[in-house]
Amino acid sequence: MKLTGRTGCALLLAAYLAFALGAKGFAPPRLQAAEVPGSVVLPAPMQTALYLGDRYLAANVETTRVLTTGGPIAGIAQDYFDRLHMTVAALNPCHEDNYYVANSLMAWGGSVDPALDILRAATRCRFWDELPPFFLGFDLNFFKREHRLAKEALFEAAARSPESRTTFQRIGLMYEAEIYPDPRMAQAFLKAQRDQARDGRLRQGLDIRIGRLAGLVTLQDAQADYERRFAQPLQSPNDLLTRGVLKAFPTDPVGLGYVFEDGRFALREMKIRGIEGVRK
Amino acid sequence: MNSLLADFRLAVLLIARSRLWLIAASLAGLLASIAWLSAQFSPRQPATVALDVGLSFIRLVVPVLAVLHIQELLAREVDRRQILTSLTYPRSRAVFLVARYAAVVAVAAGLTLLLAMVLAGVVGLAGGGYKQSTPVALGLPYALTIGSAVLDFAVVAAFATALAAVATTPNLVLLGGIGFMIAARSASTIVQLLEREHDLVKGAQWYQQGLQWVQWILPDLAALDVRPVALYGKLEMLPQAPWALVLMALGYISVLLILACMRFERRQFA
Repeated sequence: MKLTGRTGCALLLAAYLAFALGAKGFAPPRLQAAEVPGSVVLPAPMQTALYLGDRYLAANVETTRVLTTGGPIAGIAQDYFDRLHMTVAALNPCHEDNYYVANSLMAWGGSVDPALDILRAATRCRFWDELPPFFLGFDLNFFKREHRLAKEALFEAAARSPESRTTFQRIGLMYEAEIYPDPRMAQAFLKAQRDQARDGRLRQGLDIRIGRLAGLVTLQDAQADYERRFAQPLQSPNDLLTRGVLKAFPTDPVGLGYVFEDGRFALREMKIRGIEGVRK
Repeated sequence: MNSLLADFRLAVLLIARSRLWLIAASLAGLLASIAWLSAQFSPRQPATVALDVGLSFIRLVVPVLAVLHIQELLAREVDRRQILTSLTYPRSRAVFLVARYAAVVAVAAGLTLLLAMVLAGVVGLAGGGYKQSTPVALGLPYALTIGSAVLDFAVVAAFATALAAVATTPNLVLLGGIGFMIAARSASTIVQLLEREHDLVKGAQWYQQGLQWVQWILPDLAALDVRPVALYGKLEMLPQAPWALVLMALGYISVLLILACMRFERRQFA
């Protein structure tokens, strides 16, 4: 029998119908999977093999991934971007976009420790660049109150930059003198970074973090106001509400909130990282 | 010597006839657009990213093309029995093999030079509007980067030649050549990165010791990738003792070509 003409067409149609019925009919088995926050970031060694042994290409593609999707995202979802930034720092620690964006979005978004790791790697790799040690010193002083280490980082920055050597040294000495970190100065610093940013998403992301600092400024101002009015140190943040200094606590646009420790308000850091995410 | 030169010329002509100009032009166009587009994604170092991605492109396409040329000039020739005519000329088989290898490397080097010049132009354009804190270096550091890339391609082509000398199916040359390139380029980087990823593998130290022998068999092509020198304009980022790298590559090429010639001289073409 020859497969031509009507018989052929009929058989073809029947075969295709069978295929279409099957393709439409089956449903994939429902897999019970634990909910994992964020998405998968492949580890650096595996990426090297996937990009045919080219770690620089892998670093560039992953940085593009952060820059095109990352910006405005903050809080728990940020964990994914933290891991992306850290992978890029392993692949090419010299990558300028990576350390710069990691510093501005991660450190101010609550992931201080990984941001510090990335800045340390960038300081080592970019042995000529004064910005990574400057950011490192700033973050160590502001978030960690590691005044001595902060001064060392600032002096490293001073050694790298003949033009602004004295400025960096002066800031370093200020850090060492344990002058209380000023969130207003930090806010001005972040605003300058936002105004410099060419990228809209980065600007949005920085705006969220500036809003976060504004909340901290509100809290610290309220504390100063309280201590002046009642001539006693603030014991519990709730006193601000009960005694009418504040109408309501500011909300943190990043979603992490603030802490009151040792009689001082500070930014809360993201504590539990990895697969568990952050439990509220 | 004369027969070597004649064979070399013939092989270059054969490659040129396989639409080399069309391929070179389209690769250059593709390179320009990829480098320019990737620069648009970088907020602080557009020229560096354009150069970085462009170098990645060159380092990927040129060796693949070189392996394809080896496959065409050696393996397919055996497959189509043209080899029987090619080997009738009065000179040794080794001369024939080395001349064809040299022609492929010369074409690859010329193509790399062309693409490198296109890339330098695109990098200049892409980074022109923005003053980076760390500018790229398109002078001597760039020349060193391109030179070591050509050395890398020569090693890959030598491996493909050795495969072609023994292969009975032409596709083995392509698959084996690309596989060798990936393995040689990623081995040392993966071992180095595994050390840092403590939570990924237990006992990375053990892996590293276990993989020590690899460096006596595979050349470390990742070390031949000296692009940070050009990306950040710092000659200090060259590896220690660069002469050893050149020696490693040239030595490995010689080993492969000698092996290939030895096998090829005794090969039976039924």
